[in-house]
This record gives sequence, C-alpha cells and structure tokens, in this order.
Amino acid sequence: MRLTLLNVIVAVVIAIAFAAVNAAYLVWAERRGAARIQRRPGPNINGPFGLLQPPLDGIKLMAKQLTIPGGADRILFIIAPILAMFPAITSFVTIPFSDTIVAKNMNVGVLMIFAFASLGSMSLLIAGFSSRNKYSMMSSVRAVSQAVAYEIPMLITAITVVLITGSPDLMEIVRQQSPSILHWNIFPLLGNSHNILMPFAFLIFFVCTLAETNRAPFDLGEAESELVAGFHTEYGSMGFGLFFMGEYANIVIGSCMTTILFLGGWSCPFGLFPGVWWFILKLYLLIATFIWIRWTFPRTTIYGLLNLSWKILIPLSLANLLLTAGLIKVF
Amino acid sequence: MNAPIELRADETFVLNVGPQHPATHGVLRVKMEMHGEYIVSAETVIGYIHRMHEKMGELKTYPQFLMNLSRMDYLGALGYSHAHVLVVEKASGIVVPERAEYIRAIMVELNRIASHLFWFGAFVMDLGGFSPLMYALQDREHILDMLEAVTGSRLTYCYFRFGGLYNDVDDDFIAAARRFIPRMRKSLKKYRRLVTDNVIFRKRLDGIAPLSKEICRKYGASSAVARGSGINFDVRKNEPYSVYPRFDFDIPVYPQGDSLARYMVRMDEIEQSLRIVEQGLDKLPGGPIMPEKKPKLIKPPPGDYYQAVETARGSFGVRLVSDGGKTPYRLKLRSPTYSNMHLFDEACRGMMIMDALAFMGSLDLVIPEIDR
Amino acid sequence: MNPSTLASPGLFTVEGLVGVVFLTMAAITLIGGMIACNSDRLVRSLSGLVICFVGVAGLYFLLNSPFVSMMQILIYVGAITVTISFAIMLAAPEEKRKIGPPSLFSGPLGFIAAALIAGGFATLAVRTEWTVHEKINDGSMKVIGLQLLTDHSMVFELVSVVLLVAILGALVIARQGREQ
Repeated sequence: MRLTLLNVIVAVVIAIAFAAVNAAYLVWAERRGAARIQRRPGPNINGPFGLLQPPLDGIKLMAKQLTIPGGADRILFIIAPILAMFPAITSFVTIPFSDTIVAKNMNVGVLMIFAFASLGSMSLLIAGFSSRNKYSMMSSVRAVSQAVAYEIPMLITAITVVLITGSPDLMEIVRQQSPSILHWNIFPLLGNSHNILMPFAFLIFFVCTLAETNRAPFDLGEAESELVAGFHTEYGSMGFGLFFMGEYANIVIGSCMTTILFLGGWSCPFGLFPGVWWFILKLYLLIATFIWIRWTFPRTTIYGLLNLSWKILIPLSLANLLLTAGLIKVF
Repeated sequence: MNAPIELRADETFVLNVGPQHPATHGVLRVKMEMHGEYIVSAETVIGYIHRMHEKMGELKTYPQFLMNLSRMDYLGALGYSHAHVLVVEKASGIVVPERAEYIRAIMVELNRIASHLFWFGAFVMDLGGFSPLMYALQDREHILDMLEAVTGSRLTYCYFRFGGLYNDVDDDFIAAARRFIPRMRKSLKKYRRLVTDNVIFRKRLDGIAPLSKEICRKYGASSAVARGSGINFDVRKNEPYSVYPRFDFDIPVYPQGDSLARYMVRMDEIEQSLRIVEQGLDKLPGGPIMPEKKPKLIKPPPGDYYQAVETARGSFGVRLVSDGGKTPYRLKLRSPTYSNMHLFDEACRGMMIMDALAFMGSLDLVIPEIDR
Repeated sequence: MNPSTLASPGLFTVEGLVGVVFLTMAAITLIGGMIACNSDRLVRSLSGLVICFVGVAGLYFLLNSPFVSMMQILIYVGAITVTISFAIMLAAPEEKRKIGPPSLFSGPLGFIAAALIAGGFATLAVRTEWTVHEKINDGSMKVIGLQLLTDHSMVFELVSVVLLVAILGALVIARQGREQ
C-alpha cells in the first residue's frame, strides 16, 4: 500500500514538473518561433539559443513586488492566478504519455480533463472581477462567454470519440487506435467507426482548443489593442507569470487531448516502435501549429467568434455525433 | 447603424481609452460611454503633446522654423517640410531649379511609402496580427537607409531649403531606389496574399465603419479617409504643385467607405507612389539643386499666402501671413489628421469597441501632428 | 463493519486516511457554503459556491463514483456557476453593499429554521442503520447510462420535460425583452 502511494505521488510530481517545465519553455519556443516567422533572431543572449531565458524571466518575475490595486478584492485577486495554473497542471496527472507512462490513469479520463478545463474559465472570471478595472471586467465577460460557447462543441466532439471507443478511458481510446494510421480517429477507415466526417471533427476540436486556451486568433480575452491586457491588466510579478504559464500549460493539455483523441496517442502511424516519442512528436507538432497560427492570423471579433461556435461548430458537431452513432449501429 | 439608443444613466459606463493605450498609438485620449461592448458616444480629447508649433512659427525666422515641420509628423515628415518651403518660395518669389523639384517629389513619395508601410503594420497589429509589422518595417528600413544617406536623418528630416535642397542625390541613392522599386512591388504582392486576402482580416474590415461622403465633407476629411468614401480628391491632382502634373499616376478611389476601402486606398497608393518614384528617376534632369539667385535674408512681401500639399495623411496646408518682417505675422498649419480624427466621435456611435478601434486604426492617426 | 471500528480507527490505516479525506471534503463543502451565504459581494458568493461544489465532487469521488464527481465539476462549476456569473454581470456590474437593516424576523426565524433542518438531518444520520456495501458497481458511465435508460427512465424523461419547460420559459422572457 505504502509503495503504491509513493509511486503515485512520485508520478504525480513528475507529471506536474513536466507541465511546469513545458509551460516555461513554451514561452521560449513561442518567442523563438515568432522571431523566425518575423525574421528576427528572438531571445539568443542568455545561454545557448537563449535557453536560459525562461528561468531568468521567472526569477525576474518572482523578484518583483506583487501590487494589488486599491479597491480590488484582495483575496480573490490573489486566488485567481493560482486557480489559472492549478487545474491545468492537475490535468496532467491523467494524461497517458505511453502505455506505461501515466501518473494515475482514470476510467473517466476524458471527463476529468474537461472538468478541470472548465475550472480555468472561473479563474479568468475571478481575475477580471476582482481587479476592479473596466478593461479586466470586459475581458472576463468576453472570456467567459467564449468559454461557454466553445466548451459545448468541444465536449460533443469528444463524446463522439468516446462513442467510437466505447469508453471514456484515455488509455483505452489510444489502444483502439494503435494498429495503424487508418485506425486513428482522424482517418477512421478501419476500426469501429467508418465516419468519413471525422477529419472535420478533428478540425472542430482543434479550433475549440484554440478558443478554449484563449489563443490567437481567438484571444479576445486579452486583446491587447482593445483591452490593454484583458483580465491580467492589473497583474504584475508572479501573478502575471502564473497566468502566462497557465495559458501554456493549457495549450499542452489541449494538444495532448487532440493527440490522444484523434492522432492515436503514442501509437506509430505504421505500427512500428510505438512509444512515448511518438506522443511527444505529435504533441510538439500540434503546439508548433498553435504558435504558427498565432503569428499569422489577425484576431477575430467577439460576435464572429460566438457566431462561429453557436451557428457552425455546434450544429456540425451534433450532426457528426448523430452520424457516428448511426454508423456504429449500422456496422 | 447610428440609430438613437436610449439608455438610462446607470446602464452605461465611461471607458477611458488613453492617453496611454495600445490602440491610440500615442497620447490620444478617447472618452467612451459604453453600453457593454457597444459605444454610446465617444469624445476625443487632444492636446497632451501640444508644443505650440504655430506660435514658434511666429517667433522664429523662416530658416529657423524649417526643422519644426518635421517634428509634427514623425512618419511622413518630408511632406510637411514640402508645404512650408513651397509657401515661402511662393511668397518670396524664389524659383526652384528643376532637378531640386524632381528630387523633392521622389523623396516625398518615398517618405509616403515609408509612412504607409508603418501604418500598414500598425493597423494589422491593431487587428491582432503581429507579423506584418515586422515585414513592413523591414521594407521601410530600406527607405530610411536611402533617405538617411541623402538627408542625414532618419525621421525628422530637415532636407528642403528655400529654393532647393540641402544635399544632392548621388548615384548610390539612385541605384538603391531603382533596386527598391521591384523589391517593394514583390512585397506588395506578398502583403496581398498574407494580409489582404486573409479571411479573418476581411471579415474584420468589410462593411465595418462605413463613412458617407457627407460626413467626410462635414469634417473636412482628406487622404484615404475621403478617397475610401468615394471622394476623388487629391491635392496632387486637384491643386497641382511642384512637378506632379508631369507624372502619370492614378488616384485610387473606393466608394464603399468602410475600413477595408481605406485600407485598399493606402495599399494602392503605395503602388502609385512607386510609379511616381520610377518616373522621377527616369526623368531626373541634371543641373544645380539651389537657385543661383536667392535673397540672403528671407523676407516675404506683406501678404497672405497658402499652399496645400498631399502628405501621407492627407491635405496639409500652410497659411502664411507676412508683414514683411523676418518672422511671419501668422503661420497657420492645417493638419489633415486633425480633421480626419474628429469624425471618429460621430461615426463610432453604436459600434462595438473592437470595430471602433479598428476604425480608428484605419484613420491613420499620428497624434503629434494633431496636437502640433 | 461494526460500530467499534468506525469509532476509533488509527490515523494511518486506510480507514483513518479515508476519514481524514472525508472530513476535509466535508469541511470544504461547508466552508464554501458559508462563504456563499455570508459574503457581501456577489462574486465572492459565487466563488464560495464553486468551493462548495468542488467539495461535493470530492465526496462523490470518495464514494467511488468518479463519473458523478466529474460531472459535478463539469456541470456545476463549469456551466452553472458560469451561467450565474452571467446573471451577475447582467444584474449589477458595480454591486452595492447590503441595503438597509435585515428584517426583524429574519434573525430568529432563520435560526429556528436552520436549527430544525440541521437537527432533522442529525437525527436521521444518527438513527439510521448505516450499512456499508462493499461496492454496488464501478460507478462507470456505462452502468449509470443503463440505469438511467432502464430502471429510472421515467425520472429521466421527466427531467427532460423540466428542462424543456425551462428553455421555453427563457425563450418567452427573452422575446418579451426584445419586443420592448
């Protein structure tokens, strides 16, 4: 008993460390990626390729004073950044990186991830409301309506995958996609489902992930040309740092989920050498796509964003769910 | 769009955009009365960097005031100097050598391209796209390098003199300018693919913030603001000055009046300016750059003189009232952005804040030029 | 399990740890509820509600029902509190402090009502013969789904009718607002 408990604790700590390191180094990756896209060198002074930049930034942020604006709700103001980081990191506990590397597999893994993701929007809400700043307030209103709008198609699409697999267990979802690329849920020619619309489901899921993680072109919550910095306008020091890292941790979670649900997790496209490296490869390809998109597209508008979700993505994902259910019944 | 909205006082709140705000590109303040995301009314508050250029114009002698003009608009400074030297030359009857006129036109057009490029980058950044700014700045850098080699400065030029120029262009400049033209045309194609044809970009601008001809006339708007609303007015064509009548170029006019039309006008203007630069380089005559006969002391005869030019931001006019002394009696600067900006208050009513700030970006505001 | 083991398990046994976790979750639920009821600001009340829901989810998890627990977080924290937050935004962007003194009856009457309810629950808890089942089922989606669509299909359908009524009501109210 004690040994298993220790195992679980060690695994959980490793998962959390992975999340934190990723969150810090994705900032570096983002800055380097943006610099490549914009024909600049990017951070390259501190350490080889500027690799020491994230820890130095962290030290700088920690050394700064945490100022709380007058009239702000002090308790909530302090809680909000913690709440931004905590669910994102906790979610890593259930992510299976390979058939053996998982901190604590749960048989309702999909639900757990989405449940914790929904906590994230609470942090934006609390941050916006407690800052007592009109920009923050507008930003949190936007962020919350966005989160509500995009959680629905995301969940419906995830349920489609659960329906195909017959289980909300993340390990099981990957295991069923393992044999070859044609078993992956994005190209479901073999396996349970023969739904040719699954690539669209993948796109829906990816777009929703972009929106849920507040990334460009859906970064309306922190639209800096309108709302200065949105919900974290009043945050400095590590409060800002936590929001920042929480965003990147969320990106990693979103990409992990996309990899697991649609791209076959740790399985190899040709059935060769399955393992954690395939997972990492797919994960970082997706993250690179996130960065690429952010530095290419301008921002959408709030009504365009909501219309896209309510008028296009939700009906499409519902139709896809019905079609998948029908196809599973037929075959 | 501008339907009257009746709201109780406690249903709205006042949002202070600026004086320091990323969207205002300077120290402009807009007091917006908001209803949620919608703007009920807005009031632009200016004067945060008022530096009394007009008063300085009355106190300084004519050559001393030359450098002030380029401090007004830090992006397209040469056009402003151009108006000033033109009006003083007109008043004093100084004849400018032809070579100087051509070089002036080339320089002003290059400066216009630089200004439009910066506006393009900043405008896309207002919409949330970061990368085009870096691309645009790289192209602008070529222009600044060329101008620096000739004029000695990168932004606040003091290049034009009464009667001519401070420095002649050399072969290096001409070669660089010739190299620049095809490179810029290639860049324009790239911008079209990367930005203009982007679906999100189009949705952000198409049909947003339509300005009627009436409102443009009412506020005296010029430049792309007026031409984007179907008003075919360009000082270079309507009240020709310098050597512009000898160039073959078009005035892009779009009738829609929305933000996209203003954007398209400016992008087309870059192309037209390239044409002017190209023709200018081809036609560039030899000869002196300063007149042989020039009064030692500029003392225009008493009278009232006015000269307008088309700067990157629109019709800029200098009115000079001289009493025959060493300094002007009155020097009135008609700055185009001042007129362009003030229609914002009326036009933005009922818009969402995102659209309104995109609209503000499309007006191409340079705040020091409003405040003077 | 006989009452004596329930009374005093050692802290570092499985039962003891479970007890600690249970008490923690119960405390979180209670504290959250208290914040929700007693705070001056609506946003703080909302945050208290979130804490309360998380505590309840923890209790479900402890009771070997991870599905219900996750649904508790997903629906109550993710959806319902967010909906409430919308209501707050629409109602009072700059919320005011409590208005006026509380009514005379609210203190004593509220106390009596609370005491009655608490006493009732306590009596129930003490009087009931609690039997600890080993494990009825694994609490998975499949079992719950089957149960909902077979044994409890009537309840399931009735709940959907309630939801339908709620949606229709919302539409009617929204329509009236639009016509005004």
